[in-house]
Amino acid sequence: MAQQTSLERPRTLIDVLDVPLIGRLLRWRWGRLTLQIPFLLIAALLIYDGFTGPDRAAQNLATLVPWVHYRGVIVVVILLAGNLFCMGCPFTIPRTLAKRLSLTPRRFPRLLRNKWLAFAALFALFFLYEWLNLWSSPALTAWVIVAYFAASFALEAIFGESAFCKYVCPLGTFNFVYSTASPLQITAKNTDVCRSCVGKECVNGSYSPQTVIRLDAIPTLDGGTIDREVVHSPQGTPGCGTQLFVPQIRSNLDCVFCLDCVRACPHDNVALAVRQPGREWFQPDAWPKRWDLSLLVIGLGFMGIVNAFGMIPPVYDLMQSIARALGLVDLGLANATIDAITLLILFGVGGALMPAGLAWLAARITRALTRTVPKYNQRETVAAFAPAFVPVGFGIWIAHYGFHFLTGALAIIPVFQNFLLDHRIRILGEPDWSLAGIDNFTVIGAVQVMALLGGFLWSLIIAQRTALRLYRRRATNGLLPWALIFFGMMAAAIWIFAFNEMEMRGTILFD
Amino acid sequence: MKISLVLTAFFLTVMLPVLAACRTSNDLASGSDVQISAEVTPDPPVVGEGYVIITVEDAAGQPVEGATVQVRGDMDHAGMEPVEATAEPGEGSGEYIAVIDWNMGGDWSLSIGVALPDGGYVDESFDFSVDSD
Repeated sequence: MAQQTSLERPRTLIDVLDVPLIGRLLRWRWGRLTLQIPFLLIAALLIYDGFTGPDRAAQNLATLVPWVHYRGVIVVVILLAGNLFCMGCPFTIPRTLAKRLSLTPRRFPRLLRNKWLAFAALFALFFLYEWLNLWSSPALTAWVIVAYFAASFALEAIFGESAFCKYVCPLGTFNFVYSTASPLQITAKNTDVCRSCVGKECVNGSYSPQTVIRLDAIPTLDGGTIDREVVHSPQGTPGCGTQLFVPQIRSNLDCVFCLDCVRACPHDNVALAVRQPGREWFQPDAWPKRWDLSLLVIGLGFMGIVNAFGMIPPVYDLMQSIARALGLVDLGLANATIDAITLLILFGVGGALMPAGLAWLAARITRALTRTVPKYNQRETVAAFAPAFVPVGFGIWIAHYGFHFLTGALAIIPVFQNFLLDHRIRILGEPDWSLAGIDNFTVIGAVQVMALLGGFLWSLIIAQRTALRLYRRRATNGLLPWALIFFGMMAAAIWIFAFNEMEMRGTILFD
Repeated sequence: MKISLVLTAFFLTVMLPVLAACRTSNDLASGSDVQISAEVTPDPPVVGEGYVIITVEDAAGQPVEGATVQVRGDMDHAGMEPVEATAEPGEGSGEYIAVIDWNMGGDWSLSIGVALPDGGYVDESFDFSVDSD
């Protein structure tokens, strides 16, 4: 009994790991693999269909599942539960093999241990998506999946940490940023136990080539200590791949929900706790105050606008105007080259320069209006308001990805039926191609507007709290520049989604 | 873990090629000498109802009458409902007309399948860009 009371968690903490069956499955040594194997099989299926199946996107699982279902489901799952995709990520399975093949694992280069590379990878993915029309090409989409496996494998074989997840993976980066909204977070049940823990297994792991046993003196509630046996063995689990130390975790950033920390902790002191959604946005010490992280979060919201802008007719007029203004057509360049240059300009300005410039300008104005130039520098001011960009950005992505999912969720049925028929399997019958999704654009529009308004209001609340905390009586002045940016982002998104016809176009002719 | 890795390697290296070999061919054409051409009205097409005028000719350039012509339009983004229509004989020889509801602007691929009077079958694809207004 003494052991149980010593590790008793605070009464306010609700731990998902305590839920019958689910908790047991998550704690289980192979719990993550149980989730990863179905995802691995799906990934293999997508690669297979992408390379061998119909070349039409609408009839191929490789284009349908990633671009319609994955993106639509992921935003809902992140919002309701958290980063479950990273938990089940199939790309990390061959990594285990890579880890064993790795002879002399190195640290990832110090220069790259930040989010700049992840920002560039996200930018590259969005750019390639538009330029190569990935959504319309099953084979190219299959190559993207193969590239993911290869990159994850190679980085894991070279470096001794989860460099791909933490510093490169664009999907993971998207999930990291928006899972800060989720109602679940890894946390220590009792930080006193962590303080007494000798091995810090949550980050160091409990694996050892030979069995090693030690005793940790763990504090009890009555002020004493008890000895707890800690075993390291070949059956042990690795520590946190992204090198998060559980008692210091204040955010879901960089947490892949692998739960290795839960399995490695010898004191059963790690919880997957229920929290107020987005709680970390209100905590000033939850995020590091770094330029790379702040601009990633801000830029991701703007990339959402640019990505959605790519779906409506005015983008073609703009791209042709850019091409004409720069004289690209007169140079006799190929359409694909002009397309690449104009898209790069569009994405570079809209997804990188504009967010960076606006954030810098807003911080300057805020500091001037609140007379805090000596107190907070530019970096600190931008970092303080960066979390407020998550909800408005997330609202834009939900509106975009939700559109594709709501209009095409049921298309998986005929496409899968067709896939089976292609292999002479008639168990599900002939495909009914009329199955697609909701064709009432008023309903979809209402969902989109709700997501956009909800995100905007949530952003305003966070920014207002931040301004109150930092500027007290001058909070309104401090809030104003950021509120204007949020309003501009929301207004741009509403204009895109509600006042333009959506199009799915890849070909642009420059004349 | 070792078992899962072995299973994964087995699936990827053995099962996928076997599956691929089982896959039926998409090429059903048996009347490859037959020429299919397609035009749209209005041109370029716009969102809403439009016409696809299909001309079917044999190798000698003679119009093919009495064929059954099916048209299916897919957008180039997955998840969008395809449009399907059966073409009716038009005024000209070897001409067939289908009414298509272009339900969204963007790039479309029309698949035209022709069941020939002699029992043969031929299909061909045509790409169109549909304007929103």
